[in-house]
Amino acid sequence: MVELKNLNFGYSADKKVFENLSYRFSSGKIHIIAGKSGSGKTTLLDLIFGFLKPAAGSIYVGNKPVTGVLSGWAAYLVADPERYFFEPHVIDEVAFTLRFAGLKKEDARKKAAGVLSELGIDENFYWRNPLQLSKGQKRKVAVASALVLEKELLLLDEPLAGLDRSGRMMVADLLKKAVNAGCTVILTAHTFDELLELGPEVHLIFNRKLVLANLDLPDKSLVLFQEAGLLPPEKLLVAAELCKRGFHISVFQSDAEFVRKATEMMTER
Amino acid sequence: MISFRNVYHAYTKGRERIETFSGLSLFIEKGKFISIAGPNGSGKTTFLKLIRGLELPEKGEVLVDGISTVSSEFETFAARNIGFLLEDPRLQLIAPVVEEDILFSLENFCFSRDEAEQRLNWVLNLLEIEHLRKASVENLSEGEIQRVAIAGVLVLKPSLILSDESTSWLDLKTALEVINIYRQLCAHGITVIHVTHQPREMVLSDELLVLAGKVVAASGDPRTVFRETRRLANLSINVPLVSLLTEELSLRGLKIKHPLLFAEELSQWLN
Repeated sequence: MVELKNLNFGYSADKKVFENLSYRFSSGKIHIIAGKSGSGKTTLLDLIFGFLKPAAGSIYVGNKPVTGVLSGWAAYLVADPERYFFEPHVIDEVAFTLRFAGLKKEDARKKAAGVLSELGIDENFYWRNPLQLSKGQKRKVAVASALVLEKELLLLDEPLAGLDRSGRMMVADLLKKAVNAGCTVILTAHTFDELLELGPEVHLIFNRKLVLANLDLPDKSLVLFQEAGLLPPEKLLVAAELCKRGFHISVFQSDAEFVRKATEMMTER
Repeated sequence: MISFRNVYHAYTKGRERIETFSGLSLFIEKGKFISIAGPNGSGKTTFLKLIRGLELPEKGEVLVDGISTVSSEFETFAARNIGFLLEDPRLQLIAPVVEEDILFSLENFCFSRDEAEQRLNWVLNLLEIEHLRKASVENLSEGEIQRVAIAGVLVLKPSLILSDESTSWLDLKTALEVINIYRQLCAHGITVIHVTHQPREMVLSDELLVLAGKVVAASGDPRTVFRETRRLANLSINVPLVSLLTEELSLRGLKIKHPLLFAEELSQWLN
């Protein structure tokens, strides 16, 4: 779906972000990009969406080279979406892009309401000004605005930032639906235990490269997280502890399932 | 020293009235590192604004070092003593180059050149952003912006720091490094109140305050507060995975003396 070929990019001569990077993100999957602050996560999304141009090399989306901004193909939740809110009402902020795509006001609002309700934002919020919402609620409005478009490719920069427990789970459920409908999702996250049940591919950025971490092998992937200078997901740490003691448990399940299975394993002993 | 005395607060817009707090009473000692947790929309930011006097109580009062936030002397006191880290750190950066931005706040308070330079070096070193000294603000990543914004506040050496999710754009490892900086500051008598959704940060605080349902839903030593894992999870607090696991193990009759919160503690217990 998304392919990077010999990609080079830097903001200046002494701030190189990617060097000769070739990589592939398969379609119909959810891809999580993790990396230290400043490693280039946002830059990667900006490059794929076409906000930034590579210094050398190329990017292909659906076998076509990216030459401009991908607005027809993809939806992009940027790192600071709140700065681009401008509709006076939550419902219209989410409906805006649909209206822009030619939908009638009522139809656009109906569709927006559908996505908002899946994120736990009910009618009480529709006529509030999005700028006056709390940080977490703003994030939900921004996630809804990106998902409502039902594009083939979703680029999401920190969709879970500032969300509480149920918010994180609701976003996970929405992404699951999107992937089941054939969408490809590439997102960045600092912690992403809630997303593991979607069976994502986890990619780490370090040393100006991307590396795939195979979380089915806890020990090996823990080494990679360490090299990338990151704290690994809690589930992976627990799985590694259990693995040392002869219990093999997959990290690719929900918190509840994981806890239930781990308890069974440990109490049987 | 901060005290809330039976504080009521609401936002009103036209006929609409959205109540944030009803009868909030609490006391925060000087030099403590306090974490604030709570579901989205529970009033965490409003709580910080009440302390800074940016929101005022409808009823009751908020006192900082004995000064009421409604009193005429409060603003002068707050400008000099309270540092506020905004939820969007971009709003805090003014100058185009990192060192100019950090120096900007010092210039406002008429520090001598030497003193300013000294403080600048101290804060760049503390936050490990010396390499960004001459960097242009527009080329910084989100996480770097967050650390520069923190530097701009710390450089004034406020006695109280209000942090509205000031680590949310950082990877967890870097975030915990920033938390350790806050803890060091507390050792020097500075009070830090930090809003966060991250359990590994919460557990490093002297006290965890959980805001939910317009009141303090739980408070105390974070390890003690986390004993009520199920209740916190139901309040939509991000609870540690391992504490959910320990709870389940206890229910199945396994004896666990001290609740385990993270993988390394589980590992010790298994040994």
